[in-house]
Formats: sequence, C-alpha cells, structure tokens
Amino acid sequence: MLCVFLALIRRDMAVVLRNGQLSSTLSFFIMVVVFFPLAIDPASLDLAAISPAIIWIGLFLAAQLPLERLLHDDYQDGSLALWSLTRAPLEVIATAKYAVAWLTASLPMIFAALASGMLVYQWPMDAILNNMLTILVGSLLLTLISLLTRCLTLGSRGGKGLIYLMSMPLSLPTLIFGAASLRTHTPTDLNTSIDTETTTALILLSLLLLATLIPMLWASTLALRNAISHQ
Amino acid sequence: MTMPHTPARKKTASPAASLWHWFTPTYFRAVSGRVTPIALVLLLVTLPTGLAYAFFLSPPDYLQGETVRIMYIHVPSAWLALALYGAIAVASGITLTLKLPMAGHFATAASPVGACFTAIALISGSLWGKPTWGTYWVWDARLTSMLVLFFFYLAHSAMTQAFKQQERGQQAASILAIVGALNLPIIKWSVEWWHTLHQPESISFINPSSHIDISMLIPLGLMTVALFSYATIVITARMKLAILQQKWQSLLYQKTRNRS
Repeated sequence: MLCVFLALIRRDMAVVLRNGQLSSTLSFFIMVVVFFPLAIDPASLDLAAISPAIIWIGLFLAAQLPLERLLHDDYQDGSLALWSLTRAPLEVIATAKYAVAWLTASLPMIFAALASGMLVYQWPMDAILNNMLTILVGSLLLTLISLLTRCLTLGSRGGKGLIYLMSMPLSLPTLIFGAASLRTHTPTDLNTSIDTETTTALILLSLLLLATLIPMLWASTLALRNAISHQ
Repeated sequence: MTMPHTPARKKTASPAASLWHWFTPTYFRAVSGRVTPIALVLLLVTLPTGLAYAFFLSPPDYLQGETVRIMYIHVPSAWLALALYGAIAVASGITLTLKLPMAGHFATAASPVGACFTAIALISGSLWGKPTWGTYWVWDARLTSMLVLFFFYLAHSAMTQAFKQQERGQQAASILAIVGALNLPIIKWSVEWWHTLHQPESISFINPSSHIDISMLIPLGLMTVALFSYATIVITARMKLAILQQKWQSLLYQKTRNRS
C-alpha cells in the first residue's frame, strides 16, 4: 500500500512539475501579498498589524488552486475510476492527492510567506520559528479543506464560486487561529501577554489539525467514491 | 439505483420493513396530503393572531420601547434556521447510510427555506441592532456564526443543484451538510474569541426560571408555530414537486429508449 502511495505521489509530482503549476501557484500568492500594500498607503498604516490578514487570505486563495488540475484532470480522463478498480483503497489515493497538493503548492508558499513577511511587513527575526510552524499547520488545514471541496464538486456544473462559497465557512477557524498566532511585532517587556496569546492560538490550530485530519480525509474519500460511481 | 416511484416493497411483518415503507414516496404522498391541511389551518389561525398580538396587544419593553416587536419575527426565524439545519444534517446522515430517497429530497427542499429564514433573522437582527446597540452590524460571535450558517445554507443548496444527476448532488450536499454540522460548534467557539456583545438568551428550555413575561411569550409562541407550519407547507410542496420531476424524467427516459 505504501508502494502505491509513493508511486502515485511520484507520478503526480512529475505531472505538476511538467506543466508548470508549481510556479503559477507561487506567483499567484506572491502577487496577492505584494498587491495589498500597493492598494493601501504604506506610510499611514501599521502594515505589520494587518499582515496576518493579507498572508492568510493569500494562503487561502492559493490553496484552492493546485487540486483543481490534480483531481479534475484525472477524473475527466477516467484515471481515478481505473485506480478505484485496483486493490489500492481510495483512501490512499485521496491521501496521495492531498500530499502532492501540499508538497507542490503549500511547501514553497511557506517560504514565500515568511520571506514576504520579513521583507515587506518587517516581522521580527526571532519570531521566525513560531511563524513558520503557524503557516505550516495552517496550510495543512487549508489544503485539507480544499481537498474536500474539490472532491465534492468533481464533475459539477457549478462554477468556481461554489468552491469558495464552501471553503470560506470551513476555513474560518483556521483563519482566526492562524491570524492570531502569527507574531508580527517584537515583544517588549510590557506586552509579553501577546506572546502567550500567540502560543495558545498555535496550540489550538495544531489541535484543530489533529482533530480534523482523519475525518476530513475520510469525508473526501466518500465524496470521491460518490463522484466516481456517478461518472 | 432504486427508482423512488416504484411501488412499496412487499409487505412483511417485520418492523424494519414497515419503517422502510414510511420513507417511500408513495407513503409520503399519502401523509403529506394529511399534513398540509393541518399545517395550513395552523398557519391561518396563528399568523393573524400572532401578528396582532405582537404589534398591538403586547406591551412595549421598558428598556427598548416599541423596537422589541422585531423580536417576534427575529427569534422564531433564528430558531427555525437552526432547527432546519439540524434536520438537514439528520436527513443527510440517513441519505448517506440508509440511502432513503425521501431524506435527500427533504434536504434539497429544506435548504433554500432555511437560507431564507437565516437571511430574515440576520436582516431583522441588524435592523433591531441599529436602535438598541447603535449599529447595524458588529463582529460578535453569534452574529458571525449566523452569517456562516447562511453561507453554509447557500453552499448546500447550490450543491444540490450543481449536478446533472439529482442523486449525486444530494449525496455531495449531504457530505457537506454533515461536515458543516460538525464544524459549526468549532466555528462558534472560534469566533467567541472576540468579546461578545450579544445579549444571552432570555428563554432557556433547561433553566425553569426564564425571565420573559407571559404577554411576550404568547405572541412569540404563536409566531413560532406560524413560521414552523409555513416551513412545513413549503417544504412538503417542494418535496412533492421533486418526486414528480423525478417521475417525469424517468418516464421521458423510458420513452426515448423505446423510440430508439
């Protein structure tokens, strides 16, 4: 089973690297992050204070992109239906898609987010580990939600609006805890309480991931099975 | 695939079979023929009396004055919105596990109705908020969770319509409804991270010492009955329509197949 999982990952990675999806998702994210300060007068506002919102909205929007090609193409040409006939369980296929989507889209975005946070929004250097963990856990959650919504809408007539309509409410807790656990200012002696607050939010975010990982993968598999059986 | 309009299964004495019989379209039509007149009579009795009571006979609040009358629309709609989501979640569970067609029809029929009542609760709430809180909207936990519920309703009803095959849409929507139902407590809890401005409930079904006067409780009860019977009528009618559409489609399919 592990063999199938790894083979699927290798195959999908090759597909993604060949059709240039890697750079398109990354450049989309960077464009969102860089566009926000241009729309606001950077001198009048504390950019660091609104940077969590910008980073998370960018991550949320970009997380919807990779699975569109990954799942939709294989659904259309019948590969998914063929794989479902093999002895490999559909759970493994769904998990492989999840892994590839995260590896190719979210992993590069973590570094892009950290770099833009440091360079554009002047995040403190000593908060780098905290912020990296936050974005790591958050992007795992966002990709998970994207997997479910993509599996649910396979072969639908509804447009992209449906995807965002579904994933917006589901991503709300991730957005709240993720934004709360980003450390954007250098803590002074006076506001050490901010530090404990960000740590609490990070713990809650991690708990959210642990609690929803298996149920969401299972629900995605169920959705995938439904989609294949009605193809 | 089982065609819903096929006659009910062979009569057996086992209770499980009779329970199955309960959920067939044939039986549903018989029951709905009896339920709809009852709900209609209830609506025609409770809506005028409830509105008259709410707008003229009940006293104004000692703090909020006349604006408290918005409550008689706002609170029943909010209750109905939540109750319908719970019912949709239960029906979705039945759709996924037992594959009873009527459960899917119910969820499809109920979600636009629920979306409407959520919208009514949100709009009436913000109109009520302006004179009492001084603002139409605050990012308070309960308001935000109602807004999220509204988005869930929109996504659910869009999902039921998004596929060529009705059954596929219903199954996908039921997965979404269950995930949403499990997520709503998390969402509620996460938005409560902010300081909440909304007043706590005045009526509690658990707490016996609920502090609302009987002169306000009567119109509230009447309006709740009125809105629930209205929802029953509309959902039943929409379910009947769904059955007829499916029947018509399968007839059309048979006809084209015979011709070719």
